[in-house]
Amino acid sequence: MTWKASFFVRAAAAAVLLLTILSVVAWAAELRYVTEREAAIRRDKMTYSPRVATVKEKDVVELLETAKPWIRVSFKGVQGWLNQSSVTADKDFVASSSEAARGVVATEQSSAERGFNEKTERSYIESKPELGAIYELLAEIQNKTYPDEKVLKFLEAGKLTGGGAR
Amino acid sequence: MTQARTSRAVPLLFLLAAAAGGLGLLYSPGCKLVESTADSIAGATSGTPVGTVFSGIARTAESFRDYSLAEEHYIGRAVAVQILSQYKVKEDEQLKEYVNLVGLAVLAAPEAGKTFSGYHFIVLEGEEIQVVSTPGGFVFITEGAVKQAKDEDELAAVLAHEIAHVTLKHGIGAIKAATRKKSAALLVQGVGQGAQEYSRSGGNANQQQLAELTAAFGDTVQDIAGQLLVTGYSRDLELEADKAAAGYLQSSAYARSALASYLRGLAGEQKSEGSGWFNTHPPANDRVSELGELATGEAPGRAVRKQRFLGILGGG
Repeated sequence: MTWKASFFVRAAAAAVLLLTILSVVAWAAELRYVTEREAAIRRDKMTYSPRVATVKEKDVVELLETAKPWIRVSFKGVQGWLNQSSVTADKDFVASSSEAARGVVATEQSSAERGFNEKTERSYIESKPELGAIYELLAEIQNKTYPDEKVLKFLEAGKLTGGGAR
Repeated sequence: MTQARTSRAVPLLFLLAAAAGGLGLLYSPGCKLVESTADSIAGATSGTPVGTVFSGIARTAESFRDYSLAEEHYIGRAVAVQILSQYKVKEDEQLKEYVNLVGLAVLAAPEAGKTFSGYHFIVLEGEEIQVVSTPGGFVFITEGAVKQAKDEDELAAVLAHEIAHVTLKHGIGAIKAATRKKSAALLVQGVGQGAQEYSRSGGNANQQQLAELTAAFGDTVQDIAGQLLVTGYSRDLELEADKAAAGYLQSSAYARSALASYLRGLAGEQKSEGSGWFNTHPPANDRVSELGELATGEAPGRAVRKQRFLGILGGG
């Protein structure tokens, strides 16, 4: 083997080794994709524990630890606890549903074909104008939210803080 | 020699491919591997009959896939609208807020599953006893069902049962059967004539397809609303929801026994041919028996919460 051939073999081996190391590092970082419209990352493993960060649908968090039904995650440098039902390990799962909701069909088998998205909902409402007012009523109901502070006061007044609240 | 090597190499390659496929199946959730493989083949053979067939396989795989929280949300909204078209919302701000806060207190139990846009507890007018929930976390309870509770813990128990149906995706389970039929019909159409048109439109559903989807969506929603309000879930699913609800009550510091005590109260009201809740749920006494040990368990502060409940209901 000439010195040139030997150099190339060594360089190729080094490249393969580097790629392997990079792959292992990338694989080691387990990722989760948020499926809720908005979710709170909590300081402790408690539903109404103080919020340390807010994540939105499709945000990517790094999984650090699992303590069912909680997972400890890292998001933009902040660490805290998320309910595991707020996330999925399947990246494609999130992409297809949210893209369908925007009326974009990313792949031929997108969830748009099942009809359960915002675009079909709009079409459904147009086809049944009598339901328009009820959808508005439902939107009003959905817009009414109760901040954590209010819920915590309610729990304290009802002596309910001994459970999974905080 | 070369031939011998080749003949050994071929099975080896198959073995490696099979192992890779097996690992892929273990790793991939649901039908992802089937979908991605079918997608790849469809992409590589785009515009040919083979591509069309594999597009169909990918679509079939999709129709059996789990639903995302966002999909459940749109399904749930449509079903909720059907319920709201049959019932009137109770206009009592204090009661609305109270019932929502009790529901949110139950949701302190971390085992309760999240929904796309949270849970919403809606009080309906009427003395009929009816409690029902849709995918996506819309929980409906009639004024009659609220009054049937003797205290806050019993109200929490009824809401916990509905949260359990949402968490365990019982509504979605009911939808899937209907959806498969609709998806299959759309699939046949897609394979037979729509696939190339679909491809030309850059993947966007055209107007005709949208109209078909809309009709299928509407039919499906009607089926689900009918199941929720008329036929109800199977006995097994109801008992499963009861057991999960007992767990949520305990985790959220409500009395676990409250579910059994609410059911015992209903047993006295149960008629052979009732309406609403009585038509859609198994006999209350059976449910109490099935709860077994879960029918017991007190929690501190129940008397305090009872006073709060009676204050809201006008009995305190």
